[in-house]
Amino acid sequence: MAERSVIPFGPQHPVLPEPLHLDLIIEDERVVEAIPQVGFVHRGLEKLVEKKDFQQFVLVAERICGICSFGHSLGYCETVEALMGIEVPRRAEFLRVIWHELSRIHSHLLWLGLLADAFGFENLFMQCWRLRERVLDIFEATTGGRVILTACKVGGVEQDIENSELAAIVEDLNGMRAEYDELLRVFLKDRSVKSRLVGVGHLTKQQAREFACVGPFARASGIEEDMRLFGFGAYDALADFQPIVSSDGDGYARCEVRAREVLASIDLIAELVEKIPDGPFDQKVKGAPAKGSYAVSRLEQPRGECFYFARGNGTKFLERFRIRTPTSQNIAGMVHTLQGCELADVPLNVLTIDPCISCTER
Amino acid sequence: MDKPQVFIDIKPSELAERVQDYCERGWRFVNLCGVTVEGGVELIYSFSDGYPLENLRFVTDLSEPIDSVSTRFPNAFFFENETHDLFGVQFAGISIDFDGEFYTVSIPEPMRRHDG
Repeated sequence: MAERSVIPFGPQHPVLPEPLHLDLIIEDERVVEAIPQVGFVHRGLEKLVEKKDFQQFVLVAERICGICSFGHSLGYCETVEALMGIEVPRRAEFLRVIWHELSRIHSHLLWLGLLADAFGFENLFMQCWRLRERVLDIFEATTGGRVILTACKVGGVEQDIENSELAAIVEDLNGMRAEYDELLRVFLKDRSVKSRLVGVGHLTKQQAREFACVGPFARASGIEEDMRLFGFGAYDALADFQPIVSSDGDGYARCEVRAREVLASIDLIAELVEKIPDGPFDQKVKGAPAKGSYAVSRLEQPRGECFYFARGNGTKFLERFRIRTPTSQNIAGMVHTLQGCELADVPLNVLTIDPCISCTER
Repeated sequence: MDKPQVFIDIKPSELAERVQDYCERGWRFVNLCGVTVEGGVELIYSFSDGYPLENLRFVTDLSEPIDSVSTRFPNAFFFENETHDLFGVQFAGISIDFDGEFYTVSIPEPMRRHDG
């Protein structure tokens, strides 16, 4: 029997922009077991609801993560609106989804770039991030911010986007599409990419369900679950939204799902811009969440389903606010995919769940 | 479409049976949330099967450990360790038990204090 040894992986590692630690128990370069550890940068942001009132806390919520910043402000606002029974103007719902889908595009392009960097394809990495800059330019033109947008608020959005500007965004995204198609071809057809991803970190549909995986990680294993399917907010205006799903369950499938979701989001934005109604984009919010009121909300973030919970206490401060992020849900599945993989494949395997430790350590 | 808001009050002793039921019906474990309340900590367990989402809630006075659900739902280990470190709730039989070392906190059970 081969000798077992333990190799510490992280929290500092070239493939990890954020701290995640794994104790890898290996036999002959093959991982037998992996024990995860987080908690190095836990910030206790949920506790800040005791110091910031429910309207101010939007600014804290969107600082939970620099990649999903808009999504967190949206999830928070939707939860408080459910808590207080606030109906958001229809135009605001459309604008929220347009910004949210733009966030998905930039998040996936960031991840695709990191993936390319991890398997040593520097040029592909730079091309992905070059395209991502164009999405950040759209954020800057519409909100003034590139990372923290401050676009969402309880009761609507902070600013409108003119219809002519929305049409220009669609045109810009369509211009990106031709360049992106080239990158997509490399990600999905190139032999060197396939050699690093095909068959790595396999997770069956049954295992993905057992470990309650969410987002592209789950959809790459054949689970057709996507919060956008249920028509929350402006998603109910879409004629025929179908999630991108693959049944292969390996690293390549996870890459394929995210890569195709970029194109799906571009189509989705175009459809919403075509259908966006005129009208107000916010409404005045009065009062405070009632004492003992509860609300939950779910949102399809770029990394998967994000769960929000809030409880009111009759004051302008929430009694409790809770976020369960996609990464914390996917860690158990990721650890399972590491069992049996080669030590050299561990960094790529970890990366294929698109871990976000900032979100997890909110 | 409205988001489901289903909260079901249970007794702590009913948790294991309810969790088994969700497991057999193929639902997945979504979240465990602690809330500091008078007399202890309210625990809210969330389960989903696509669109449907149900939240079980009960209050523990912290005198007895709560049976871990991580044997049925492996992803629950994360949330049970977190709830232990932040609220001081004891769980029995967590599949990966960090024994209070999951988060580095400067004060014990920080979420049980109210600093507002």
